[in-house]
Amino acid sequence: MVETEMPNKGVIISFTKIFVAPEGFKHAVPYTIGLIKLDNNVIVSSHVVGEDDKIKIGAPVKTIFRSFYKNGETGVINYTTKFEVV
Amino acid sequence: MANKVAIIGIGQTQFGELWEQSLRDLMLEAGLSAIKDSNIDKKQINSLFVGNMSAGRFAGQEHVAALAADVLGINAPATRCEAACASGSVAFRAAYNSITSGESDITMAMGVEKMTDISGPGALTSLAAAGDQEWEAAIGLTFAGLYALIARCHMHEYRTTQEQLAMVSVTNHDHGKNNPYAQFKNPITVQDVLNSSMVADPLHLLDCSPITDGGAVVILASEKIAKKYNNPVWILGTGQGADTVALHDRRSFTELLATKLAAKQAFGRANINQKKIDLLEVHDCFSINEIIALEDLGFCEKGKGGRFVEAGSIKVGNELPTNTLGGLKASGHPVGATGIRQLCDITKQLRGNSQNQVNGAKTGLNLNIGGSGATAVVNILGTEPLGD
Repeated sequence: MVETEMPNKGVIISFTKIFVAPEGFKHAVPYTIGLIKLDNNVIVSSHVVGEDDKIKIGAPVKTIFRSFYKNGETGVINYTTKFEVV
Repeated sequence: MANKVAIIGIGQTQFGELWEQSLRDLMLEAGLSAIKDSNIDKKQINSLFVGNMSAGRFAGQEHVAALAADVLGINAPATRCEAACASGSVAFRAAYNSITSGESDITMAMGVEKMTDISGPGALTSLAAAGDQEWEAAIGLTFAGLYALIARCHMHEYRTTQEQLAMVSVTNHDHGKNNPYAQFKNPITVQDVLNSSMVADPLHLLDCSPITDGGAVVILASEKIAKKYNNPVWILGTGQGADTVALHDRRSFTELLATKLAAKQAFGRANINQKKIDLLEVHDCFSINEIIALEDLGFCEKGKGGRFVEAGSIKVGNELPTNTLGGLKASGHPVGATGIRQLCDITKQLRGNSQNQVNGAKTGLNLNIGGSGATAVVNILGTEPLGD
């Protein structure tokens, strides 16, 4: 097994804005998730942030560090990598 | 040539929000109705295979195959089969293989799911476990979301329209209206679908199959026993395909490779082609999936599925009747039960007593899909056994 660093840039292959969420994500609706093809051709599923009209198939994106959710009991904020249109 | 196997009994419960029936009640009702239909003594059943996705999460019950045997008073080896929404068909294949291997002469394949005792968001969380937990479920990517990603690609690449997606649901509701077991018997219009609330853009509420309680059972028998029946329905071919669990690891987002692999096996074993198939049961968990199924099974050209549906080709009475009693959308989708329900509906057609009978139906095919396509099962049934 070899660890490989992923590029921080890619392009949107598909996306959906989710309005009906499972447990733990109700606070976030609506939120957008995309299939992102990174510059090394690896594809990942990830949240995409930014204005709706910029989120399109083929749009170039880069990673951004954003808050994800608050832990229910302790209120600790969890962060994750998301993507935004360049 | 493999041993010949036939369906000699079918049964199912009402599909819907069955708040007065527990998981146990569903098992009992579906099982007893199939035993009655087959006219066998339950002591003759040599084995039991139960398709169930997530009774542990939905109803707090594991060890469900043993429970099914227990409630039916059958003392025989009972095995649970799980492949998300394809659990029913995977149980069916295990039952089939139990007969071809010589271990059983008569076996029961049950599918059952009790989904409405937990909250809506809770059910979505349970269903999301059919995807990749670390990469998909953990970021709130629901199944509607996964199929929305597929739909967006199909619409982009092939100009499939929202109206064509909507026509899938309209047709399924139209077929469901005569089905006494269906969750929804109300007709809907394209406009109803487009006006329904958005679940995961571009999929509206009426593009999505519902959350459902229900059970369904088929009883299978070896050739020697099946030949004593007036109307056995023979298994001509069966196939199961696999693919990555996470959608993003696939090479294509506009087809399901697992469907193609399963279809190739099933058609090969049945030694027939698409032209010989009189009707289909396909996995319309979301409208886009029925369109993709028609393409991947080879019934229309890639990218033309939307137009095929829009032209009315899948309606009973037309070229390729599909989901003749309403499919997942109108019948309902108790996930572990769906594959068996599809086989029950095909069996009714091949016996000639479906509520939406296709005239002269001799062969039918079911496609049952698990997750976003990590598992696909195809079975081909016919009124005559395979030749030797």
